Amino acid sequence: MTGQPKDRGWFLTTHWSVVLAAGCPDSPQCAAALEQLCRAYWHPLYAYVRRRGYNEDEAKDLTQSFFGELLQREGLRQATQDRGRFRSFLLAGMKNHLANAWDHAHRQKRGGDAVIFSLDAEDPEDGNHFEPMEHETPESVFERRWAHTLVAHVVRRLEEEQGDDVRRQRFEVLRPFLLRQRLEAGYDNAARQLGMSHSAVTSAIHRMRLRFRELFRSEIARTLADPAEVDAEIRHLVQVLSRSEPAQDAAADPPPDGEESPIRAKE
Amino acid sequence: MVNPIPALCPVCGAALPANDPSGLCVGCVFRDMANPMDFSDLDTESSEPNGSREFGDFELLSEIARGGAGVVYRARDVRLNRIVALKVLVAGEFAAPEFLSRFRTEAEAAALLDHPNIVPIYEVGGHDHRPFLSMKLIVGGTLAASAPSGPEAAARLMSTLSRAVHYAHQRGILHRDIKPTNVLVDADGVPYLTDFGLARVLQHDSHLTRTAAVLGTPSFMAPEQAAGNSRELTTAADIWGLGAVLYHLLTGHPPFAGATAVETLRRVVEKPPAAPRSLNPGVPPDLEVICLKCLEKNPRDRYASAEALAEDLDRWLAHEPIHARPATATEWVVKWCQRNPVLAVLLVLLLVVTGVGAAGLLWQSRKTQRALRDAHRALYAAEMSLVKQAWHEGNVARVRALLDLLVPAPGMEELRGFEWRYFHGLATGRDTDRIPTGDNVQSVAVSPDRSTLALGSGNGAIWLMDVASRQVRTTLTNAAAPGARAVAFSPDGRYLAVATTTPTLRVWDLTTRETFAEVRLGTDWLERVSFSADGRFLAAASRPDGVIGLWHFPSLIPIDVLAPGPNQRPSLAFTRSGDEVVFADGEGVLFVHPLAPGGKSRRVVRTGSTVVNVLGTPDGTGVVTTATDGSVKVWSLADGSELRRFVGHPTWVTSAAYSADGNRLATASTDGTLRVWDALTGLELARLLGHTAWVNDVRFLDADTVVSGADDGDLRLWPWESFRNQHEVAEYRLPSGELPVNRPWPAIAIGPDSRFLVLSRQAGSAVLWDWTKGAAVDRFQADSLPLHAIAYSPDGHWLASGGEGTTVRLWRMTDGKPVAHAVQLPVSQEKAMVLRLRFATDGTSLAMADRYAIQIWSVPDGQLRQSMVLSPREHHLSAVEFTPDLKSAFVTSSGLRRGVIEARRLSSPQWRQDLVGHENIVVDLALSPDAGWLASASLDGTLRLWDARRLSPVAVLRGHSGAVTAVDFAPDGRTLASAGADGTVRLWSVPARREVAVMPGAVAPLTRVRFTPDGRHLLAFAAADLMRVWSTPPY
Repeated sequence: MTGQPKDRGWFLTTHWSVVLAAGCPDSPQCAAALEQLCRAYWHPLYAYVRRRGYNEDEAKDLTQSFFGELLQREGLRQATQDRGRFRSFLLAGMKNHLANAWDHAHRQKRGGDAVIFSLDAEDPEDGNHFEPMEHETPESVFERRWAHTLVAHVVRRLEEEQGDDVRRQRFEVLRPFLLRQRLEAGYDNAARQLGMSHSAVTSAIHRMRLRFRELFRSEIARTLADPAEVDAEIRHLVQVLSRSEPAQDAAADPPPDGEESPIRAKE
Repeated sequence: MVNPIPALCPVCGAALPANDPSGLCVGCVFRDMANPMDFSDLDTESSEPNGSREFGDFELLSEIARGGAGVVYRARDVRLNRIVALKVLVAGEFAAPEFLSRFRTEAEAAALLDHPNIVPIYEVGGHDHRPFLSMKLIVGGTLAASAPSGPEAAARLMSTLSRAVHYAHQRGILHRDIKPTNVLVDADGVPYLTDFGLARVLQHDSHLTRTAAVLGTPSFMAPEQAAGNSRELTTAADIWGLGAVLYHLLTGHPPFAGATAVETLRRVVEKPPAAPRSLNPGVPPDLEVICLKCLEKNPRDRYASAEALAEDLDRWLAHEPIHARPATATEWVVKWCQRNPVLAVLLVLLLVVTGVGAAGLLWQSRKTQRALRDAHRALYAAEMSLVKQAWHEGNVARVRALLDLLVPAPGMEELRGFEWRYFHGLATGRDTDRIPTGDNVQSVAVSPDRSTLALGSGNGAIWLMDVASRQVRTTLTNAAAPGARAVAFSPDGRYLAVATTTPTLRVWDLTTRETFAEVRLGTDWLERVSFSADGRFLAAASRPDGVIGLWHFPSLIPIDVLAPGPNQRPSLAFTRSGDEVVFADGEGVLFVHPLAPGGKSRRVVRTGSTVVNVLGTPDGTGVVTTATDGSVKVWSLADGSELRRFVGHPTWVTSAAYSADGNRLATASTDGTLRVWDALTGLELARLLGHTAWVNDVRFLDADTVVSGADDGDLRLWPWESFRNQHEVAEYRLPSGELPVNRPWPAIAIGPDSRFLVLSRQAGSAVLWDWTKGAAVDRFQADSLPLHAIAYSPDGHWLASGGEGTTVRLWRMTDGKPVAHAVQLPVSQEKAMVLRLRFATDGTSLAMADRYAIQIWSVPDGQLRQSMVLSPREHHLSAVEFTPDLKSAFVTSSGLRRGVIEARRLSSPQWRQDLVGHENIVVDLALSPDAGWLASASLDGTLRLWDARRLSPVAVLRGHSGAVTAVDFAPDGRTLASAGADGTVRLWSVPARREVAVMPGAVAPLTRVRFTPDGRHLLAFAAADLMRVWSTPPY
């Protein structure tokens, strides 16, 4: 198998399990690792907050302040449950954070609201327009967005691994074959386009898929306390993505009593 | 105009994010990753033999396609040694034996189809609990991947497919799932339909059908199918499917696409598809017509058969006129509008605004134009009923949105009448006293002498505002405490206690403006603070620990600290007696706690809601709770029973306050409104609209003024006068006075300024009443006999009065008051009884109708100009109306010819024409201001509209459940109001000839209904002394 990861170390040190084991804020590695995780996964949270009815600026502020508290204060210690999955941990934390939004709105701007990392670097609304805003609960928006972010990260990493221009160009052509979905004729086209033999193309696709799968699983693993949970996490997200009746989601995870209404009222 | 339509995943049909760099369907990625590694699709014939696998009698060669329901393989049927397409459904989901048998039945039926453009099914079976079917292998791609280019090619292909579908229909087989991925196109471009009938089994037998995975996107599904009526599908559903595929070929988009399957379904059912030409201007117009005919929501409006569709496509290809147009365009508009009134408004507006569709439609005929106009009018009425409903549901935002929709585009007929302005006024609120503060207003308190308001701001400052000047006189700041959550004046007005977002409770001495004392409570911040009514105690509540502190005041010696448990929204209030506090814990359980040292809290009731605030009732026996679920309830302190509830707020009620007399309760909510309630009955008296953000606190400044503070930074003062008319209906008691037994309702005239009413009172007297103030301005006496008719001259200079006396008096009005009667006009004979008086528009003559004659007199000199004797059969006149020029009259009687309205010309007494229709006595008549329409109200329960010039019937308006007693036109002529014995006042759109509103709040049987001349008010009179008024803002 080719395509060894070049920076496997990054993955290792940024595992959620490492964060939990090292303990923040005592360990500087932990803080750095946590920040990297947060930086990678702020967008789903932002989408969640937006779906809860906050406008762009409010959502930005709330996301910023949430990460601010998480990274600077003792956010990690507060999380007793949901620590197994970074995803659940973030969502639970944000729910808490929003539960205080009523007060937040009334409290004088707090000192802790310093910008942790710039959300402006990327347009947080980018991609939000395809979020189905009518029938989805904030939770399902979050989880779906999470899945999207995860895949986008993996694809980007795979892309970055293609060192030279030739490989990058080949990747561009073969990218559609990451999934088993194309008709056979497509391989021949790709082979023609790349000037490769049919069998060379299929073996390239073969390698690409193997690597994609590897990256995909390790990306999921790094959000979990126990890497053995990877398959369970994938299954969960498959369900989330297949679901077209988000009401089930809401029923499974009712928002805390009374916290929903004032927020909905602003929608 | 058209929203970007997301690209769809070719495998599962889910919407792909428009700008996701990966370009991958995330659902498919995850599904892929959930399965073991599988490279079967990479294996080709040239690949190693071990690349193939076995499946029953089949050797799997490669994977062709994969969807949520199963996988299609290129496979070798070992028995016959032929290459086939093998469709294998996913295991588990479809493994049940009963499914297999239905699958077999359905697929075998389809297998009988033998048509060159239908993929032949070779075999249906199951292997290893997995149903499969083998089909002819079509080497090529699906239509989704390889669409023909150009409209001609698309039309040809669709014609071919339509004939194939028709062939199946003739054999009783529906496809049910025609979409581009079910159309295969071989190397020669020949199309084949596949999966006939499979949708039925898949959709009926699997819970997976409700997932996007199996269903794919329902973008190509017919509305009747999307609505779930799949058992009643007809061939029309497949015609829809063909149209949808054509649409896709022409535009590159499915006709409907939402981000989720549910959203797509909704659009399929509710929305018209975007015109193909709006997506691709190159689409030929006729082809668009053909396409849209297939996509008619109503199956009956589509092509009668797939063959008819094929024929129309062939006609288009041969440059012959197609059948789909234009014969049915008018019909289409009307039918469609009838079915979809709300959408039709949008569509009609769209057509007219853009002028695109309008140009295409209007050239056709005036008939079309009329159809459009009628549709527009009908829709107006339909929309207005939605407005009423939305208002009833308290959905103010929707009311506003619906009303906005009815603002006519340039060139469109203005249909909005009183009803529109009325609801618009309700929904948008009136100007109130708005005082911007520059920061959010978190809390409000009124000083005991009502001279000062204390406002707690978001920045921690306390503003003391002088009520008279509305100026902030003093600012008390506490730098360490951002956010003043609650403020309370001591009953003597000397101290102000402030709860801030710190654990420190600060009491200011307002005489020195210095801190008087500070006490600490809890750990985080203080949410509530309150003085007992006698000023001897102070209480505060802290969050999130929920701790409540009780102190003596002013010594601030602690009495007790209660810890009912953590509470994000601690609440607190003293009862009226002042020796108990009431509070709710975090679970919504209400407690009362005596202030005696060592006193024990007593549980009152579990409210069932998350309580935000509590408030003692003025009588001291109860407590009001306001909650996050919008509930406002009064509980008995004695036994915990629910005494009353105030229903209306949809969400958090942050604060409540009683008026000083205890008759009204005001509530503030995060819904942005305040409401004023009748404290005794729970009726909503007014909805105060104006704040644009969460309203945090409310108080009564005095008996008639509500004061509120909100997150929008505004303090608002709401004088009762400013919002009483904002309420749905206002009620007035008329000046007392007995009325004759045989006519127990007053004669009424409304002055041209819309402000003064003249009402007949007891025997010969009348009162001039300023109804806007509810005050009698003057009272005057004609003679000693009852008055039955009063009229103002249009300029307001003259008033005429008449009744059972022998004369009609003409009064000169000065400053609106009758100073002297100028002339007395004799009635036609003894006991004639004047029933109706009306001045001509120019004010120079007066018409009078009594039981025996109609007479016209000049004003003011009192010369008789014309006289027309009424026949004996007309002697029991029940209603009379004159045209504004006083040249004609409509009379109707309660005698033998009851129900017949006679049109009379005063210049030719012999001329008369009957308006026939009513089946019982007509009791009121009204002419529209332009004299074009006559409305009649009858005891037969109907209201009728007549063409007053052609003297012909126009409409019968039904709605009242009993006799219709009164009718009047609004000054703009667009609205007709009727009142009935059923106690309702109804509004009718004159152009639409439909009911547009039932006015809220009318109850008693009504005798008269009148619009004021300014068109802003509708007055309805019940019994002798009750008047209800519905008002609109000035316009």
